[in-house]
Amino acid sequence: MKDDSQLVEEYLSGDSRSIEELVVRYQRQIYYLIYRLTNDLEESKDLTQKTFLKAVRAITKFRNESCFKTWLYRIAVNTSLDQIGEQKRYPRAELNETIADSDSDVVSKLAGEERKERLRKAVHELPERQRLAVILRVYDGLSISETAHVMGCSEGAVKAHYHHAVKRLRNLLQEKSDGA
Amino acid sequence: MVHEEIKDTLPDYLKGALPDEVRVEIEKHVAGCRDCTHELALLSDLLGVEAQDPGTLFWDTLSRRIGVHAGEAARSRPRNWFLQPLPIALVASFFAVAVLFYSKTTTDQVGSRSEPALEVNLNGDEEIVEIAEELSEDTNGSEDDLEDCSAELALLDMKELDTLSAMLGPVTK
Repeated sequence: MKDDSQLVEEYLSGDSRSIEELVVRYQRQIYYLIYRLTNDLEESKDLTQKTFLKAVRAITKFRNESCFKTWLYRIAVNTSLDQIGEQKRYPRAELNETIADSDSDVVSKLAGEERKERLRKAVHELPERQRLAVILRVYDGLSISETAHVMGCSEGAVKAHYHHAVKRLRNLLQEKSDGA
Repeated sequence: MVHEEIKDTLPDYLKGALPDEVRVEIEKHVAGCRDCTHELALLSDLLGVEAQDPGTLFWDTLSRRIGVHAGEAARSRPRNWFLQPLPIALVASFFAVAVLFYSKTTTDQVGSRSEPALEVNLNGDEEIVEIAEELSEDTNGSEDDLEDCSAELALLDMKELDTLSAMLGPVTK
C-alpha cells in the first residue's frame, strides 16, 4: 500500500485519483472527529467535505516533515472551530435541540443508553480546547505530541486540557447522577 | 511510572498501543488505584458513545466529489515551467547557439588581426586594395603601369588617399 506522502506526490504530478485514495483512507476519521466536535450530522458532513477541499487547495504547502494525518486533522479542527465560532455569533434555530431532546427521551429509557447520552452531552458541554483534547486522545488515539501538533500547543498544555476535561466529565456525571 | 504518568497513558492503554511491559505495569497500578479505576471506566464509557453515521451514500460519493474538484484544481494550478522538459530543452539550445556564436566571433577577430587587407575589405574599400596591390607590384613594373596607377589615384578623394598611404607604408618597404 502506498503511503500518504507518495499519494500526495502522485497528485502533484497530475494524478488526481491519488486524492480520492487519500479521501477514502481518512474520510471516516475526519467525519467522526468533526461530529464529536459539532454534535451535528448535517454540519459534520458539510465540514468533512470542506476539510478535504481545503486540503486539496493547500496541498502544495504540505511539507513531508509533518505527518499527513496530523496536517489533515489540523485543517479539520480549524475548519470546525471556525464554524462553531460562527454559530456562537449567529445561533441557529432550536429545531435540532428539540429533536435531540425528544430523541434523548426515547433513548433514556434504557439505562446503558442513558449513560451514553449523558456522556455525549457532557463531552459537548466541555470547553472547546478540553473537548478537543479528549476527542483527539481518546477517540482518535493520537499521542500527546500528535495532539499538541493538531491543537497547535505544547504537550504540557495538552496534558492540562485533557486532565481538566476528564475531571470535569467525572464531576458532570456525578452531578447528573446525584440529581437524577 | 508514577500515578500522573499512568493517567496520561490510559488512553494509549485503551487503544492497545503500549508495549507489554508498560501494559502490565499499568494493569498492576490500576488494580490498586481507585482514582485510575474510575478514570479508566470513564474512558471506556466514552469510547462506547457512538457518533451518528452519515450513511453509505455519503461515504461512497465523497471521494469522487473531492476527486473532481482536485482535478480542476490541478489543471488551474500554475505549473513550474522551468522544471518541465520543453523549457529545459529550449534554454539548453539557446545556450548552445550562444556559445557557438561567441566562439565563431572570437575566431574571426583573431583571423582579422593577421590579415590587414581583409580588414580593409570588410570596410568595403575594395578599390583601394586593388590600387595598393598594383602599386606594390610597380616596384618591378613598367612606366605605363605607373601612369595607369597615377590616373587612378587622381580619381580618389583625400580621405581615400590617406587610407591608401597608410596601407602603402608596409607594402613599399
